Amino acid sequence: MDLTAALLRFTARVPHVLIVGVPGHPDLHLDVEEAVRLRGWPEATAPADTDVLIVAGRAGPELREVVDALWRQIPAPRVRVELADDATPADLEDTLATIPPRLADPQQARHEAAAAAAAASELADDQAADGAEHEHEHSGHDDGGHDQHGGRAAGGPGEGHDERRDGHGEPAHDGGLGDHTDHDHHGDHTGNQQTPDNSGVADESEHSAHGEHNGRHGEHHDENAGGHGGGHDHHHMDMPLPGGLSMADVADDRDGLALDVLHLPLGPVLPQWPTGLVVDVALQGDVITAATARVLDAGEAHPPDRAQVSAAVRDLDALARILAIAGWPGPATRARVLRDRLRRGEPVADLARLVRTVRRSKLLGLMLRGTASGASADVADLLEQRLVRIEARAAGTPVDDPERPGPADLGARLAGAEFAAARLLIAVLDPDIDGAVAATTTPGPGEEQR
Amino acid sequence: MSAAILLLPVAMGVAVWFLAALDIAVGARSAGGRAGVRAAVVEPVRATARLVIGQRRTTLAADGLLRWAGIVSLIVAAMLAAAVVPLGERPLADLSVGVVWFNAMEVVAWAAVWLVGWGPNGALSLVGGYRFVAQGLSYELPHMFAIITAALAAGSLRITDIVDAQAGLWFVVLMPAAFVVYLLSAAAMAFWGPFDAPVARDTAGGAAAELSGVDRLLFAAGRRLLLVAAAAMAVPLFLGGGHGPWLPAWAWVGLKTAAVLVVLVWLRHRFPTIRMDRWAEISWVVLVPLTIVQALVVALVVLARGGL
Repeated sequence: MDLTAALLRFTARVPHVLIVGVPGHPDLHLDVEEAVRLRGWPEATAPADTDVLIVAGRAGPELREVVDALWRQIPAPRVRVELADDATPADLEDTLATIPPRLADPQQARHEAAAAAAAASELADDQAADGAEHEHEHSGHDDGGHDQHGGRAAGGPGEGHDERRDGHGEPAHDGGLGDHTDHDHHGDHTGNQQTPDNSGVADESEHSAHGEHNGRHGEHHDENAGGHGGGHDHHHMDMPLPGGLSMADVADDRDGLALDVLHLPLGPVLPQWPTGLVVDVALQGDVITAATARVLDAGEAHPPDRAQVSAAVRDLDALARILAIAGWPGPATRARVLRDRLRRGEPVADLARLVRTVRRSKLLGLMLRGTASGASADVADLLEQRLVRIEARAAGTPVDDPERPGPADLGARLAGAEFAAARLLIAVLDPDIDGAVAATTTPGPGEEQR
Repeated sequence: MSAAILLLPVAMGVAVWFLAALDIAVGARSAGGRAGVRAAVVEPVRATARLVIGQRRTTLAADGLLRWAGIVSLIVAAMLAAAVVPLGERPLADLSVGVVWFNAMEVVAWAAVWLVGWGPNGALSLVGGYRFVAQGLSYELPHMFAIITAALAAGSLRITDIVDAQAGLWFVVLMPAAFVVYLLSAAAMAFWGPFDAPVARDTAGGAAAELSGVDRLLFAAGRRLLLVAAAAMAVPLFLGGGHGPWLPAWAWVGLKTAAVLVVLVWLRHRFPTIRMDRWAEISWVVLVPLTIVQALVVALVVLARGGL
C-alpha cells in the first residue's frame, strides 16, 4: 500500500457531494440531502469541489445532457451515482455505503483522472471546432436550445464544424457553473477555418481576427460582424437565446451608461437552487436586466410521483435555503434538521428557537430588506410570511397554503435585481417546479436511453 | 534572524490549523450539533489531504498564469504582512514604516483575489472577484484610519515602537472604536465571514468556484494565512504586543493572537454574510466619521501628554 492509496482511503471517508435533483421527485431529493447530511458529508459548492455526483432520480434528456457536462468538469477521484425514481431510503443507504470504497480505489482514481483529462482535451477540441457546442459544457446550462441555435446559424452546428479538429492546445476543459466562453462564432466556419492543423493558439488569434471573439467575457462587439453571414443577427438581440449562448452586447445600464450585457443561464445546478430550474438572465455588472425562467424536461412525460412534499416541509426547506444563501450556515443547518424531522413526523421542539434567532437578527433583516424590484413584497416580507406560517403550524393553527408562483412568473420579478438579491428572491419565492412538470401532460418524445 | 525566517511559516501554519479546527468546532455548535475535539483536529488534515491528491482542472480559455499569480501572491502577501508582526520582542523585519508595509501587503490581496476570479474565465468566478474589489473599497477607508490611530498614539509607524508605547496602557482601552473597526476589517480583508461574499455559496464558491486540487488548497490556505496575519497584527497595534505578566513575550503574542482568532471565528458563525451593496453605506457614513473622531480624540490625548 502506497501513500496515495492510504490518502485516498483517508479522504474518501468524507467526500464532498453534488446532488442533482430531478424535477417531479422532490421527496427523493430531500431523502438524499438528509442521508448525506447524516453521514457528515459536506455538499459541494461547484463541480470543481465535487467528489461524488448523485443524480436523485431518472433524468430526462435535457437534464441528462447537463449531468453529462457536469461529470466532465468534476476532477478525479470521483464517483457518479444515479438513483432510480423509486429508490427507498434503504436503497439509498446501500448505495451511499458503496461510495467511500469506490472513491478509495486507486485504480479507479487513476482511471477517472485519465478519463477526466481525456474529456477535457476532447472538450477543448470540440469547443474550438464547434462553437455551437459550447453551451453543453456549462454546468447548469440547459441544452434545449441547440436546435434553435442551429436554426439560426447558417449551416447549423455540426455541419461543417465537426470535421474540423484543431490541434491540441493546453488540455483545457470547460469551466463550471455559469461559466461562459466566447466561442460562439455561430455558423461562421467558412472554409478558411476548417484547416485541420490549427494550433490552439492560432485558432484563438483567428477568432480574434473575426472581431467577435473579443476577450474573455463574452464581450462580443459586433462592429466587424458584417462579413460573417446570417449567423450574426443574434449579436443584436437583447433577449438571451434559449440555448444559453453567451453573447454580450452593449446597452445602457440603469444609470444610463453604456455597459456590456452578458447573457447567461443560471442553474439548474447551483447550491440551494430549485430543482430543474434554469433562468436565462441578461447581466450588466451584477444587475439582472432581463430574465426568463424555464424548467428542464418540462415537456417530458413523468411517472407519477411517489410522494408529495407537504407545505410545512416546504416552508422549512425554503427557510433553510434562504439562510444558506444569506451566508448563515449554522441556522440553515438547523432548519434542515427540523425539516427532516418534520418529514419523519418527529417532534420539532426547537422550531420556535430557530424562528426567534432568524427574526432577531437585525443584520439579516438589513440584508434582506428592499431586495425586491418594484412595489412587490421584498425578501424580508416574504420570509416573514413563511415564519408566520411555520409558527402557526407549530401552534396547531390551520394555515392556508398560498399559491406558489410558477416558473413563468419569475422572470418579471427578477428583472432589475442584483445577482445576490435574485438568488435570495428565487429561494424565498420557491417556484413550483414540480407542479410545472406535472402540469404538462403531453407525452414527450421518449426519454433517451443511456 | 535565520531561525525567525523558519519559525514564521511554521507558526503561521500551526495558526491556520488552529483556525480550521476552531472553525469546525464553532460551526458545529452554531448548527445545533457538536464536533468532538478529535473531529475538529483531524478534519482540517483530511480536507488538506483531499485537495493534495485531487486532480487539478483548468477551464476553457482560462488564463492559467494570472490565476497562479493570484493564488501565489495571496500567500506571499500574507507572509510578507506577517513579517512585520513581532512574534516576541522583534519582528522578522522591523521596518520603520511597518504599518504602511502591512497595509500595502493587505491591498495586494485585492489584486490576488481579482486575478483568481478572472483567471478561470467563468462568470460566477468573476462575480466573486469583483465582489472583493467592492469590498476592498468599502472596508479600506475606516481600516486605514483605525491603524493610523495606533501609529498616531505611538508617534511612529514602526511596529516595535507602537508596542513599546503600550507598556502602560493597551491601545484597545485608549481607542476602542479603532479596535472594533480593525477587527471588522481583519475579517473583510481575508474575505472571512461575515464578509465572505467573494467566496459565498450563492455564487457557487465565487472566486474559488473553478479551483480544484492544489489550486484550491493554496487559495484557501492563502486566505487563512491572511486572516492569521491580520489577527496577529491586532496584537501589536491594540493589545499591547508581547506585554503581559509571567509569560514570555512570544507566549503572550501567541495567546492574544489565538484570542483574536476566536473572536473572528465567532463573528463568522454568529452573523450572516454582509453584502457590500448594503455595507458600503454603513462603512462610509458611520465607520469613517467614527474612526476620524477616534483619531481626533487620540490626537488630543497625545497633545495633552505633551507628545508630538
